[in-house]
Amino acid sequence: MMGMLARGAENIYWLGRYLERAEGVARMLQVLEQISLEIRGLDPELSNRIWEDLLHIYPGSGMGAPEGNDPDQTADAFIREFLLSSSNTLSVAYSIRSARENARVIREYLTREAFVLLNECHIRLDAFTQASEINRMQMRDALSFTRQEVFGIWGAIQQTFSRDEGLRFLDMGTVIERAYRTLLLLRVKLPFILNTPAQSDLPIYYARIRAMLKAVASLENYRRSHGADLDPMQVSRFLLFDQRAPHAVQVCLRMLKRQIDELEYGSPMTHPSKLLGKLAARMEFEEQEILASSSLETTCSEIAEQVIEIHEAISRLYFTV
Amino acid sequence: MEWRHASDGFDEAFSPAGDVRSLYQALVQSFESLDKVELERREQLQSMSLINQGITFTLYGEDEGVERVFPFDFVPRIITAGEWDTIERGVVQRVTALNLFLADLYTDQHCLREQLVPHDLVFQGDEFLRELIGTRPRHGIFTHVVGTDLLRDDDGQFVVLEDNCRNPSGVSYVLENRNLLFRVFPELFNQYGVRPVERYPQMLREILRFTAPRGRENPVIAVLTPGIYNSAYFEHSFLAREMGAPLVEGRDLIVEDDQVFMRTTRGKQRVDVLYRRIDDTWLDPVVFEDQSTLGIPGLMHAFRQGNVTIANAPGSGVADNKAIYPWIPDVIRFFLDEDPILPQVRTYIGRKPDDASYIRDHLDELVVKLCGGAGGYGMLVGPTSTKKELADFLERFDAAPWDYIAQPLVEFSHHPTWTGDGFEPRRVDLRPFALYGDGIQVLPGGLTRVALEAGSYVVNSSQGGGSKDTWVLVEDQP
Repeated sequence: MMGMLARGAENIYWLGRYLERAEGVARMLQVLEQISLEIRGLDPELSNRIWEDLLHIYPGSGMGAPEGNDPDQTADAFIREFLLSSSNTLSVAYSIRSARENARVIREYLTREAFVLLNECHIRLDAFTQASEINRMQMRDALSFTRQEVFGIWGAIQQTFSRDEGLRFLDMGTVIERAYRTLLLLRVKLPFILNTPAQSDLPIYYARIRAMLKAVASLENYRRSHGADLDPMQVSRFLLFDQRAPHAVQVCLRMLKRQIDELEYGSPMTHPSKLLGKLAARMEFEEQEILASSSLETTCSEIAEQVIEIHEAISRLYFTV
Repeated sequence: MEWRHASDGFDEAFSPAGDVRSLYQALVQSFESLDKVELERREQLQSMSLINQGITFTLYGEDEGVERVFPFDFVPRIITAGEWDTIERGVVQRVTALNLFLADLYTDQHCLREQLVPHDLVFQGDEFLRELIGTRPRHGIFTHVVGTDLLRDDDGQFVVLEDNCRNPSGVSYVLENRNLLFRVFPELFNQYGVRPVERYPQMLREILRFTAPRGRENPVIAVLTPGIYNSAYFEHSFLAREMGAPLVEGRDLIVEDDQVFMRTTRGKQRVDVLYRRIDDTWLDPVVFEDQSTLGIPGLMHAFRQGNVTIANAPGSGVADNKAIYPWIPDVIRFFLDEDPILPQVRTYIGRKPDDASYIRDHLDELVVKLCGGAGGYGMLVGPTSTKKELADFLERFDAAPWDYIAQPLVEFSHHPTWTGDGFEPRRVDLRPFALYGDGIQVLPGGLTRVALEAGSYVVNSSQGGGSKDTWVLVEDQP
């Protein structure tokens, strides 16, 4: 059976990762801006500090913790940096530009519909990055349209892509990025949400749990499953294991396993497959142990490390022939 | 809407008296039925479409890496069935002769022994590859894809300006221009029967398959590109996509046991045919430029062994060397025993002392070209150059006159072109594309390039040129 060009597979895998990252960062910025506003009257200091979450969920941006105490200036600085910066490799603009570069390299695998939508998104966002003056309202618009356009690109991909290796690598990139960010989000937020707050802090506490769910596009799904009751363990379980949550870690790992199984159908088991099998089995059979672990955030950290190992094994096996 | 016609040279749409030629009447009427606002709206739509689809070329030089849209003028150029018949026969004749010439140069060299072409012109140019002497590509085909640049002289006759036997580019724009015009000005097609061009990728795939190494029934075909920063990268990826072939770079390929393999997710897989869009020099660092990171070590040996087809074959450039061009009519007579169907332009050769002296004395009247130059680089258009430009060029010419040829300024034909305010005459050329496999086929039409600036002769995409859709009519209008 004819394989896909290794460099093509790598680019399409990263196309998936960058699209997922662009949408994830844009969503996170929207969520942080909203929670920051929501709690500003209750806890101005936290309203400023909450932006640091971004630095932990998307580490490596090179940006430091907020210096001043003005929440508006902090919000402005973070949104500008993570939306428009061309040097920050985690910014939305960088991800869209990189996704487009990946798409140009593998254009023969893409459909015209998918490429045009991605190119349009890049051109539109690039106009913002080139603009000398851009205010907060315009940045909000840019966040909204980028998310919408990324959804449009995914729609075009699902509707028009050939069901072959290319789509598998794209999906693999997407779910690895998604699982990894969900795990980092849990690692950052669990120490807070698993501690019972004082009665007076409850409004902020629940606002932060809602924000956490929104950050992985899961608040509505959670409510549909569990109603309005924001029980912290229930939320943790939802984001780690619930089959109804598209960003749940186990859902992502199952999707990844399905793609790898199809890719390797009839072949001896490969290293990424073994690593993934081990992790998937743990998630499948040790749900209670994981949730009951004394430090759930540490466990999330360990799982995140294992996801990175799987990513590296995939890169070595498929992209470095 | 105002239509201006050309005051000098041949105007394809208007008679010298300024009347619309019958061929163009329906087209002019169609445009006349649209007002300026509507034309502007459609022009904007087409520009957005080009930008959004990433139909671009990449600049070199100061703006290296910058992507630009190749401007498209929506007024199509029309070629009658009768005119096309002459062009087609002329191009087929020329491509046949050029291939016989190449096959002879790399084997028996009758043409040199018979002094058809001066030895030194062949051997002193970089294009002739001694390493390939004795090599016969599959079916004896060297130039699988040829772009022949044509002009229309003052009488409207098509004349050959040059051949492109190495990596002729532009065919992707032919196909995209047609798509674009269908979308933006569908009504223009109502009154003309236009021959389709969409089959080109299939034709290309067929000829590549035909020339695959012996015994490879289902050959793996790949398009070889220098990479994303090459000026014609869009075209490379376009052709790969349309042919359903992988687009590979040198780093994706390895040669083992004189066979070429590409690195895939399932290990190494053999490649049988490389439609390469990379110059000879960079193909194989073992044989040519040892610093090349674009090439594949061992590729030439695999080619010589007949284990991989390279299209166009390395060494084909000798046939389109600008210094060889003046001898092509003799090449046609020698190999085919026929007179050339398409005439070509009188050419002075820098290596001939008399011609060099003529070039020096008439620099301001001539178009002087660097023999190895392409894309308008290294070219001087004497009549439109300043004194300083002429003086600077003369210095370069005197340093290496053998590197240049010169031709009188042949007036290009003019074609109505939308300027934003009206329709004005602009100079155009034509590059039909011929494909050589089981016979030679010429894509009906080709790339019409247009000098968008008033008075300009430069049609190259990198220097202010644009393109048009080129219509070849199914049958001539009554």
